Amino acid sequence: MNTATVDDGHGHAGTMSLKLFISTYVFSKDHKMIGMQFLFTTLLWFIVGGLLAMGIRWQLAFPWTDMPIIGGRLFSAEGGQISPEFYTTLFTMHATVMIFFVIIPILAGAFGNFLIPLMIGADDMAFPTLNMLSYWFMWPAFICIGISFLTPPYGAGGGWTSYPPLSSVLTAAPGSEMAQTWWLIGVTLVGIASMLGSVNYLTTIIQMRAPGMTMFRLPMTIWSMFITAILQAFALPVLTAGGVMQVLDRLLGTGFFIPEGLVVNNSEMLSGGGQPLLWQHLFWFYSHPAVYIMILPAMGMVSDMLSCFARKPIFGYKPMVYAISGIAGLGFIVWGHHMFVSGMNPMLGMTFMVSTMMIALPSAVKVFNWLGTIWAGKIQFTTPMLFSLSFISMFIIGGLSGIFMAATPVDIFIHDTYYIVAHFHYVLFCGTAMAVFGAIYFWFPKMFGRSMNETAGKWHFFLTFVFMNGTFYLMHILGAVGFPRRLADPYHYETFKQLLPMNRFITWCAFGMFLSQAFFAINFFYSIFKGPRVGRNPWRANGLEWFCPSPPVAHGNFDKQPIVYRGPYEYGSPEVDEDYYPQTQPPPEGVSVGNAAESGGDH
Amino acid sequence: MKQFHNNRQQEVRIASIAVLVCLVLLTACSDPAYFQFNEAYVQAVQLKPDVAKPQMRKLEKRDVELSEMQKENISTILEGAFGTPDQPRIPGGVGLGDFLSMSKLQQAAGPVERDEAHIPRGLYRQHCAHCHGVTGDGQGPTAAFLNPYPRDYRMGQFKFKMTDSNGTFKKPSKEDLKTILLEGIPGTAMPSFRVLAGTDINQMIDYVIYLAIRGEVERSLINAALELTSDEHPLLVDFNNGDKKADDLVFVGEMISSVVIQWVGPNKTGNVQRTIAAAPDNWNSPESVKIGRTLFFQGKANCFSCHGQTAIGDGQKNLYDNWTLELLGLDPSSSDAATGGEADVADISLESQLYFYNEHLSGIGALKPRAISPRNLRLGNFRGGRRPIDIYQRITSGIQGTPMPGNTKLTEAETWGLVAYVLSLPYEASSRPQSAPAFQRDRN
Amino acid sequence: MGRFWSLLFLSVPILGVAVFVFAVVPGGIFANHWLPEDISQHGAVIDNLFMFILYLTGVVFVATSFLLFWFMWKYDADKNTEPVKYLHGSHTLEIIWSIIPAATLLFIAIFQMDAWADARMKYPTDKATGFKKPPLLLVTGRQFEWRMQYAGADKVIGTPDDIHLVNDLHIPVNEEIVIQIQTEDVLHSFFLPNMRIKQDVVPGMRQHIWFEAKNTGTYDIVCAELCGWGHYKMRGRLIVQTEDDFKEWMASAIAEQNKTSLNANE
Repeated sequence: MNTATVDDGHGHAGTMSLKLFISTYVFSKDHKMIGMQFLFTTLLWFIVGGLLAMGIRWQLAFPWTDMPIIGGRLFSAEGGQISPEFYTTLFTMHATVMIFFVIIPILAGAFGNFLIPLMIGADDMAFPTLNMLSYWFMWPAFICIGISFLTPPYGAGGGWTSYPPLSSVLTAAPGSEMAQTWWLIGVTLVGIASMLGSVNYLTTIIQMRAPGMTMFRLPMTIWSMFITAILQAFALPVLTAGGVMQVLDRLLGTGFFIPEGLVVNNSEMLSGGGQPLLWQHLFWFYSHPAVYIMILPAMGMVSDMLSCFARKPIFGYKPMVYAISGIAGLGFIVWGHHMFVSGMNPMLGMTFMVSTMMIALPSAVKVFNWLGTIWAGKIQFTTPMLFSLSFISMFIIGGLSGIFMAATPVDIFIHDTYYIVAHFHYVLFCGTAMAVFGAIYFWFPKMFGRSMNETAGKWHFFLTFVFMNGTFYLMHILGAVGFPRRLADPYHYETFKQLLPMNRFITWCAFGMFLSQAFFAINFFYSIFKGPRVGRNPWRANGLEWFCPSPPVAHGNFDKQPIVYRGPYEYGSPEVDEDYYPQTQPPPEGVSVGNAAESGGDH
Repeated sequence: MKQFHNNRQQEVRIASIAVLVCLVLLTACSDPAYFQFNEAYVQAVQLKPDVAKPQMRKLEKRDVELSEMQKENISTILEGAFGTPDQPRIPGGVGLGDFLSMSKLQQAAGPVERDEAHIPRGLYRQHCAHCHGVTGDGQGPTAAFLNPYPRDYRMGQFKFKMTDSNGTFKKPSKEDLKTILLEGIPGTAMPSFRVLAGTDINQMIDYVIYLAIRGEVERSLINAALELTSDEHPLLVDFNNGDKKADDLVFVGEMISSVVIQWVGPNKTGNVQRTIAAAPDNWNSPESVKIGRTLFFQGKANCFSCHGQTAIGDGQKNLYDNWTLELLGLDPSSSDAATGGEADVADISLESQLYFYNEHLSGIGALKPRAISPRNLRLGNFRGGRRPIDIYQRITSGIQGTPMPGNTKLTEAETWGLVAYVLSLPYEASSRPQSAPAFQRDRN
Repeated sequence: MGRFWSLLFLSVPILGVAVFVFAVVPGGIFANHWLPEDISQHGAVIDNLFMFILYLTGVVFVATSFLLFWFMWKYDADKNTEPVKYLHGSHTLEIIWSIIPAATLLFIAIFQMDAWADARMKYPTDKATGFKKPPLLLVTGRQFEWRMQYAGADKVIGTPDDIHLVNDLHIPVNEEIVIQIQTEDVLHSFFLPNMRIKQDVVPGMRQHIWFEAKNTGTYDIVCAELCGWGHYKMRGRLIVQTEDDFKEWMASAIAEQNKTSLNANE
């Protein structure tokens, strides 16, 4: 870490004893340090996940050719040509890493941790030790997954969805031996880390708000983190239970998911009486709310950034809060839409179709409200704003493509095709990841007391925007042809033969997208050490986090007790001359702290 | 809002990206594919029985051992005769010219790509190599995860064929290999390649035979090299010694010819499937089935001794196929036809059976040996085909490389009776007990 | 720079719609990059639903994306001299843009229930007998192939006259066919792109699918559920034939399966 953080509040200049170093930077209980630990770790895993994706794209563009870098090392006898089971490992680990080691921890672990106490005016989380544990529980998970990378076929190969019997029967698939067991244990540990975090966030938000910070004066970021934490707390236990059951099936010969009389790969299965579909229900009962865990915080942060850079209040604050709650609530009753053709009772196809269609409604409401936010504003095209605007644009695409899947008869055709891949990459990468980038540019000054370079940021945005659309938009077309997922070589099918050129184009765009992140990576690390220093509130924003120093006071965050007088979206308020009106700024003489200060008014 | 502008930062960034791209590209390419040396066979032959532990054969090294120089020499000879995985060659003057087609080999060989005329190359690499290995050794990356293991072509033995295993020319015909490619081998990981274009299948047949011949030649060369005394003329072909080289090459050529002759058959166009006379009209009648049942349990056929009292394949344990026997350090050629291995294999503990493998082979990546079980005849799954003539062939010719013997002592009527009985087994009431639910859930 | 960014965002709906137009309209650079040929009687329902949703979402996509562009263009801080409208929302608008999408979505959901029931819930009845139509064959997925077992002359699956084939599914045209599907080992999914049929096969479960082909030809069978390293290899062939060709093929398959002699010169 840079020396500024050390000078700034700890009072320990120069040398530091080992014990102090470990308690400050390693096993820190300070939410800001933990947030940054999450941030750095997840950004590194982002690179790993990206490399795995490049492997997938290589195989789809140049099937069975010498894969760069890794082919020569792992498959030298074959001249660098990968094996089919390695391909299953590539897509399994790409998804696992991106979902469990990147998106969820960066949203909840990095931003949640860093921002929640600052935005509500608290000096730390409610349970600092628990907070530290929630980070360090990730490391055994990293090690488990790391071990699975070591032996052929170099990772788990059952898909990130890990459906039994493929993933429950040891001999069913390569990677289904030790690697799959390590994978299951790793994912279970990640779940525990998340659950520890969610309990902390809920308690902190409910109990530790600064004086005057009512629930309806909370920024959208906090609302989204709050609702996300509820999702995690209620959904994760189901995944954990399912994961434990599957590990028991693998190691102890139980039969939760394995029916009788199964003979896989000429090895008799001894146990039986189980149901493969049970796993799917348990898994998706968590994993559907998980996708909302992966987008709601992004939506919240985008709302904050949009309002700040449009210099206008959020349009429809309370409807936005209700929409987030609606998405979360409905999110618990739609999991069956992943299973329309799974063999579950077709009646459920009807019920889940209705609930899934309905969940598009609150998302639509949010999009309209974001449009309302920038309407009649004064838009400043900073890097965070560009990412936030692109979130809206890309979420429109991702959300609308979801409607096709909600329609059960249409899903018969597009299930397990690239239409689905396009949909979730649009919401997860073009949506959430773009919001995350924007959020990093936005809150970087608060974290490090320096700013990132705007020009490099805009180049990063432009290149990523162009390449990611080139990569993922055409996947809708592939999906319409019926191009299946997870196929190492789809081109020997008559139906898909002609799709090689399109896949090549997508791969080139993907390589471009991956390399464009160099602008971000270099900007990020360079600016930590050499970025121009900034004051408390470089963006002239309203939230409580801009009230404390940049970076915040090491112990306690704020140098003065924050008192909250209004909501966080009072931009362009007639009460003051400035175009922003911080939450902690007392009202001018003669103006009472009344209705006008409540964000989310109904007028 | 102030724009933070810093040129030097941008320079640094651009330079870094350029470096990144270059690094990526530099480490990109790997070496071409290569044939791996048959180390397992070297281990298997260069050891001799340990008099102190007769049941664990070939633990001690022989007085002579294959040196690195000799191995390299063998590799050079093989490359000269057969080329590389990317550039195959057909050795000249050994009778292969009409049998294998160079254009077919070139299409099957090499990395997966399209040549100038947009004709696909690398068919073997695309469809076969990940299981059967680039060398045809049955040890591709996927092989470790399969049960049963993929075929190792290098011994030149194939299980399912319609050529006469009791005759001189036992190798499968090209038709046999085509059948395997079209039908696959049910119950194993060998898939059916029926949907591939007919031309693609023909190229792969030639290439598999090419790999088999190359593998057999390699084994012969290893045996021959071990015969040479170490100090006089250690190399099979001394490429530096002009006079000797010619003689050596003739010697090698003869060795290759003796392998080739088995493949090309007496007419030089390949082995021919045998003729099976039409079955008698009532071969499938209940009487015939009864004859078959009787024979199953006694006398000339005695099938139950391996296939078990109830024909579910539990008659014998500790049986091994020839490919596994080598991995256990046992000599397949000295096997007893009835038990498929050393007469006392059954008495040896699993631990000692795996001893040789663990000591000498696991380090070089050979696959862990497994026992072979006799077929469970009640499942209706016949790996070599379910037609009556397929069963007939299995009974009379056996399955080469496995303990299943060919029985030539039965009369036609008796053989067809056995065929009828075997084909009726899956439909017997005891094969599908009513009490066991076939499905836990019926939808619609 | 605001103008540049606005135009970049305008390119999204323009190019987005263009890609689909090029794909849907035959010919051009995206020829053969759309829904595969539909040879089934009932597949049109799915295709029509797909297109309906495409048009609907297309309109919403263009409208919202255009608004986004327009607001970015018009309210660029560098060019916009108007003061900000200090507004926290609009009750009326919230109601309008909640009710209209809700009604639309509910309509789409309910409108499609028939199609779903036809595809997966209404097992066909044999018009001649009035009972459930017996399956023509059993398709078993296993790692990594599709094994077909035709019921044969006695119309019962599991008797000695069954015809066993691999990766080769022949059906007669213009006849409603029922196929029993199951798996021997792990999850697979029986996907016929040209029939718009897809159904996961679950171990321990026996299911049926039904369709009627209206064109002859050769088409793909694809596995659509990850089943291991060979998932990509599970390609089968669906061959739709005229009634006569089908009978002829069936006879030759029976003959081949019952072959009791082999002539070396064949």
